[in-house]
Order: sequence, then C-alpha cells, then structure tokens
Amino acid sequence: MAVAIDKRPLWVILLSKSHRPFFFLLIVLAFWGILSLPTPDGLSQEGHKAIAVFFVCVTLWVTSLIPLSITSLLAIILIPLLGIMESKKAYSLFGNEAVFFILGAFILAAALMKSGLSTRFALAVLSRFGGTPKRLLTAVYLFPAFLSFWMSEHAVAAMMFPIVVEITKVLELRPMRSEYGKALFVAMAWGCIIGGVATFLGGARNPLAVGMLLETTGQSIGFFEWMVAVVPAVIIMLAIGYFMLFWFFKIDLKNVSQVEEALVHRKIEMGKVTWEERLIGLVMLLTILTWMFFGKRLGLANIAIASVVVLFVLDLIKWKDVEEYVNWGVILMYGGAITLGYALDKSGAAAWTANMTIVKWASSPLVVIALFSLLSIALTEVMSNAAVIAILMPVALSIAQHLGIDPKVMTFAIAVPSGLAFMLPMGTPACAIAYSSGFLKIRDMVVPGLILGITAWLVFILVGVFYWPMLGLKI
Amino acid sequence: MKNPGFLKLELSSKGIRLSRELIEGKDLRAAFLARAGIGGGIDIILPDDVWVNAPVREVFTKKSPYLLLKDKGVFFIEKGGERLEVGVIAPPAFYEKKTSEGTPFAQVGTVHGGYLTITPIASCDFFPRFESCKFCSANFVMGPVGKKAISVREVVEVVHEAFEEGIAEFVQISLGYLEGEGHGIASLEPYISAIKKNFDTLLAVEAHPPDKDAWIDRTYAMGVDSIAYHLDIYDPERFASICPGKARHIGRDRYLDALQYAASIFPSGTVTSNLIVGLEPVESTIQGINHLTRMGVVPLLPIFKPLEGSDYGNHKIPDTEEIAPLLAHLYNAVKSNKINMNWSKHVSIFITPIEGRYFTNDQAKLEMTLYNLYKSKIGGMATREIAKLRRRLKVREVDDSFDSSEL
Repeated sequence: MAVAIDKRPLWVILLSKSHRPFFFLLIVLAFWGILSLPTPDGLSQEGHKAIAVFFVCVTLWVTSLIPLSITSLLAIILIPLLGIMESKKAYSLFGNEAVFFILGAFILAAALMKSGLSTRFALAVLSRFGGTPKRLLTAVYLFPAFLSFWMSEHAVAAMMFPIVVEITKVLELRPMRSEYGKALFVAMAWGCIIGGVATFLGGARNPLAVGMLLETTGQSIGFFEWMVAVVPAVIIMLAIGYFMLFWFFKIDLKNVSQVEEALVHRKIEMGKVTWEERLIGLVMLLTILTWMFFGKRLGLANIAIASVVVLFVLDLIKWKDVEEYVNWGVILMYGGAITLGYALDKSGAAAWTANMTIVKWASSPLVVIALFSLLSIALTEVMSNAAVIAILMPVALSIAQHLGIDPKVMTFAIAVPSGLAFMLPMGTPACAIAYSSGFLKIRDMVVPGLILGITAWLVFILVGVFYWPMLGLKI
Repeated sequence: MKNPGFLKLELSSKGIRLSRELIEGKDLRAAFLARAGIGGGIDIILPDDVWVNAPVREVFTKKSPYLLLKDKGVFFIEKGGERLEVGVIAPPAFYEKKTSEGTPFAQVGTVHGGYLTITPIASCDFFPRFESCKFCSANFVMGPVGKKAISVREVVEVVHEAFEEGIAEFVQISLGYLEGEGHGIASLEPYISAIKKNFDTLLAVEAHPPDKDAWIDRTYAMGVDSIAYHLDIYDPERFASICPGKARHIGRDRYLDALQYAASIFPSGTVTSNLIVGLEPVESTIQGINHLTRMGVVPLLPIFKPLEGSDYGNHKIPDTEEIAPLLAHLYNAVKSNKINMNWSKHVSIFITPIEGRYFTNDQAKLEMTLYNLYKSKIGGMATREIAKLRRRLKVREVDDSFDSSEL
C-alpha cells in the first residue's frame, strides 16, 4: 500500500479532521431545531419530521461528511424511529426492483470486465479504426461512448484508461504539453459521460430515478422507452462533443503508426477469444435484447438477476469476482434514497415543499423543466450524481403532479443531466480518471467542459420541446 | 571535572581506565559480552544526569587520565587526586541470556544509555567491495551473504527483556548499506511493525538514504519516530575519500536532499545526521552544522575514536580543547533554528545539542525546563501519544483519496 504524508501544519490537519464531528453536531442541532418548530399549516406531523430527515440527508449528501451509503442507512432508521413510517415498510422499500436491477447490472459488468471481453473489444476497435491521429482520437471518443450504453461508464473509463496511457507512451506524448495527449484523455472521459446517459446500464442513477418514479407515482419507464427518448439527444451531444474536441485540442502529431504495433502486442498478450468470453458475450447480448423487447413484461430486475444466475450456472463468474467489482455502497445508497423519497411523498412533505417553493412562481411547465435540469447539471459537477437524484426527485415529482407535467418527463429532466458532469475531476469518476493521467490541467477540463455542459443542457431542452411530444411525452 | 559537559567530552574521546578491583570483579563483567566498537564502553552517569559511554577496551584508553574506581560501594572518577562521585549503569542482566532460538541476547541488542540498539540485518554491502567508511570497525558481518538476519521473534524477545529489566526506554534499529531502491528499509518493516504493536515506545532508525523520497514517507508511516542518515563527513573531498561507498553509491547530495525531505516529514528534532568530530577541520564541521540546522536537521557530533579493526585504528584522537567551541556552536545553531532539542534522553554515545549549553554562557533555563518535562514519566507518555497522534493525522494511504470518488 502506497502512502503519502500530509505536509500541512498539524493544526490545519487537526482542524480539517475534526470538522466532521463538529459539523455533525451542528447538523444534529439543526435537525432538533427543525423538529422543535411548530408544524406549518397544511403539513402533517409526519411530513414535518420527513422534512427534518430530508434536511439531514441533503446536508450529509452534499457535504459528504460520511459516505453517501451511510447517510442512506441513517435515513432508513430515522424514518421509523420518528414515526414517519413503520419499520417494516421502510425496510421493505429497500427491496425495490431498481435496487436489484442495479445489482444485476453490476454483476453482469463484473463478468465483462473480469473476462477481458470489454478490453478485447476496445483493442479491436482501436486497431481497426485508429489508422490516423484523427481516426484514433475519434475511436477513443466513440468506442467508450458506445460501450457506456451497455455497462457502467465508470467501468468503461477504468478499462480504457490503461489502453490510452499505453497509446500516449508509444507516441511519446509529453504530459501537460501534448495537445493530442490531452485530447485523448478528454475524449475518453466525454465519450463515457455522454454514452452513460443513453440507457439504464451506463449509470445506476438512471434506474434509481425510475425506481423513485415507480414508488412515488406507480408509473415506470421501460429499457427501450428510455433509449428511444434519450438516444437522439445523446447522438447530438456526441456530435457536438466531437467538433468541440477538435476545436479545443489541436492535433499536434502527424502519424500514429506505432500504436498499431502496441495494440497488436496487447492482442497477442490476450491470446485468442476464449469460450468463457464468447459465452459471457452471448449472455450479455441476450440480456440486452430481452431488456429491450420484453423488459416491461418480464421486469428489468428479473431479467438481470436471471442472467446473473445463468452466469453462475455456466461457471462464468465466481463470487469473489462479484465482491471485487460490485460497489455495494451504491446498492445501500440507492435503497435508502428510494425509502426517503417514498416517505417524503406519502407524508405529504414533498407536495408541501413544492407548493411553498417553485409552484408559487413557476410561470410554465417548460420553465420548471428547464430549471430542474439546469439545477441537476450544476449540482452534479460538485456532488455525486446519485445524490443529485435523491435530493431533487421527491420534490420535482410532487411539482410535476401539481403542475400537470408528465412525471416521466420530470424523471428524464433530472436523471439525464445528472450524468453530464464534464468540468471537474470530482464530478464523475470518468473525469477523475482522465485527470489522474497527469496530461490535463484543471483549465483543460473546465473551459471545454463548461461550454459542452451548457450546450448539452440546451440540446436536452430542445429535444424535450421538439422530439418528446412525438413520443407522447408532454411537458 | 566540575563541568559535566566537558567531562563527557573528555571521557568520550579519551576513555577511562578501570581500577584493578573493577577489572577483576563481577560488577562490569557483562559489559564485555557486548560488541566492541561505538557504544562498546561503560555507561556512566555524571552530575546533572549527563550520561556518557566511556571506552574502556580500546588501546588509547590506557593513556586516559581518568580512572573509574569503587570505594565502599560507591563509584568515583578520579583524576590527579581529585574524585567525583558518579553512577555506573550495570550492564544488563539479559546480556547473559539466550533467545528461544538460541542466540545470545547480547548479539541481538545492546543498550547504550536509554536506548536498546538492534541490528537485525548484520550486513553492509560496502564491506565486500572494500568501500566501507574508513572509521568504521567491523560492526557488520562482511558481505551480503553474512549470517542470516535475526528473526522478528528474537528481536521482540530482546526488547521485552530490556523493557522488563527497565534498562532501556527506546529502541534504535541500525541498518547497514544494502543494495536496492530503499536500501533495506523495506526489510525492516516486519521488525518495526512487531515492536510498535507489542511495545509502547519511540523508535529510531539509522540507515542510508533511499533513492526515492517515497521511501522516506513509508519509513515514517511504518512507525519510525526518528530517522538518521549519517553524512559523517561534511567536506565533499574528505567525504569521498573517507566514505568511498557512500560517495559512489549514494552521493553526498542525496544525503543532504534526503535529510531535507525527511525534516519536512518527521517531527522537529527527530531527523539527525552524524558529523564525526576529528576527521575534518573544525571549520568544515561548523559549515556542516550550519547547513544541517538550516534544513531543520539535528547534527550529532560523535567524537572520533580510533576503533580496532577499522582503517583509522591508529588515527589521532581529536583535542578536546578544540572541540569545545564546536559544541557551543552546535547548541546555538540548533537553538537559533528553533529545532526541538528535547527528543534525546539519556544519550551516552555522543554529546547532544542540549548538552552543548555546557560550553556556552547560556543558562538555558527555558530549554532545560522543557527538557526536564520531556524527560519526566508524564512527559515521556505525552511524547509517545503525541507521536502516535501525529502519525495518525499525517499518514494517508493513497487509496484513501479514491474513497471520495466512490459512488
């Protein structure tokens, strides 16, 4: 285990370490203060308490004083302890279909990663299409985007990173200096991020949002339905991102012929395609097709878990692989967020908050949609995208019901922008991984990321206004 | 005789003769079970609780004007008819015992002042190449294939015995030069970890600078409280001729860079480097003191002793009158650079910076108050706990930084 020594003065470290219990105490006092206030007119006792719990969770999610998953567990215990909901009900919401869909998707992605199939795909694509600097950059941009349709964008970035690092080494690109080096890492990150919003598989936040929609309104969005609504926006964003990539980063080398040799070497190291890879690829393909065409009838989570069972029956994955690749914190976080969203809705807290805030001055549903999507895209730059959904969804769904906005549209308006964090390394792991290459300065990410973020938001609004009505989704 | 600092200087460099009664008696017999060389003498407690390790076996000690004798159960140092009552640290009883694996304890660890010194890997790769430092006696077994390293279990047994006997308070681990990036520091990790897990003590390591600073980080992280990279000679040309192995395989600049970096990692006053007095001109040692103290490093000034078995076995012993101003300068330089002088406690084998005050007119009242506080039982406990807290706050496992990007 590598270590680093914090060289700041001891008192500064002590202060920064002790802020956690200090702020936690402040949060507890504020929580107690909110509970002690007289319950406002139009709000139930349970709603009052649910708002207090919501305040605590939002503060903890935003500040990350404790891990997001632990905040979710705190929500699950506070809800029954304060009498907002029975324990039995609170814990049962943890068994939401979305949570199990996410678990299944994680295990499927683990199988893909562990088998090396995803790396093999990447090598094949880069080798086939990467003949010139421009084509190689395009492949490094578009392939992760496409792969992020089918597996977590974070996993795609982690898988692509060593390949791109190898390319920069073979081309002898100098960190911080080489424009082409910068472009390669930014392309990888942007591809992952944009591709990650296209389906339920790119980021677990999408099924979380749909899970909250289901618990709150009883409505749901199918796998195929999501794709049909979002993929056109993704294609436009990818096109804009492509032009911005070449605009911001000039290609400062003439040929990339050495890369081909390195990729061939990597392919030789991997050997020929194994039966294990073929079978995992087949299971994955069948799972995706079943999600797309039978998702509504069979249930997304059921399909995902069934595929996982098949992987184990065929001995294609071991439990220790699952333990290694699955982020259990996400599972806990999502279960708690769904429980809290449900409590806010059923106690009337979400509706009351909506009535007291945006509903009072919202001039039109379009303004509300634009506002929430902008809020989502801004917040996701500085906090976890799952936390953005957990915070915005309960109130947004209540406002949607009040203003007659289709709750599905509101779900898209929050879930899709919450994945589009292009600017800062802490926005999303894809950006963090790209930044860790040492090729990029913060400025290299912030300026193009800001412009792409604003453009993506405008694209999203335009798609919502002009395209979604054709699908029967009305703002 | 009245100035304990000056007397320590005299005894360190000239050694002491033993009365016939002491040579033939049992009082100090066990002292001769310990290894020869630096720290191989007898620990004597002078007035003001000043500890000194006085050589007794080396040839030059026969000419020493000082005689140690015992009269009616009390130890005295006698010089020219004048007597001074002193204390003598009885050699540890555990020297005569053996570890569970059959190794004599005295071969695993020796006590110097309040320190138990252990050399778990008795090897220095300079020896087989004939590149060892010329003042160094054969403390290490020749060659990298020398006797096998002492086991962690044996080291723990020796520390346990020394602490049970109450004869040592701190542990010091010495490491010769070993090939490889960290120059052997990684191989000390199991020993350091076992000592830290089993004993509440401060631990010092003397080693050679690793090639990369990351190893210094790791040295601190593994539980080392004080680190010494001994430059020994400051003058570049003399450094190269007296320490050919150090000059060729590590380089003087790397010593200085590593010391500077270590001073930014370890607490003030815990990074040290020897500058041997008597092997280079006084002016050169003064330059060395100035350079090291400006970096926050504590220079330690062992007085050169011609050790049997070393290339400099017949080298002239430095004149103590010449050395005295150097020790005064050491005290002033450490003080003016605001380096903590309080870590060293019951150090017998060299003159500590705080003992340098005996060569100045400074009463050092504040410094001595603090020093005595550190030396007290409560002070010692507080020092250990603060050292633990500091490490806990400062050391971050690199993977920690990824925790924030989880989810």
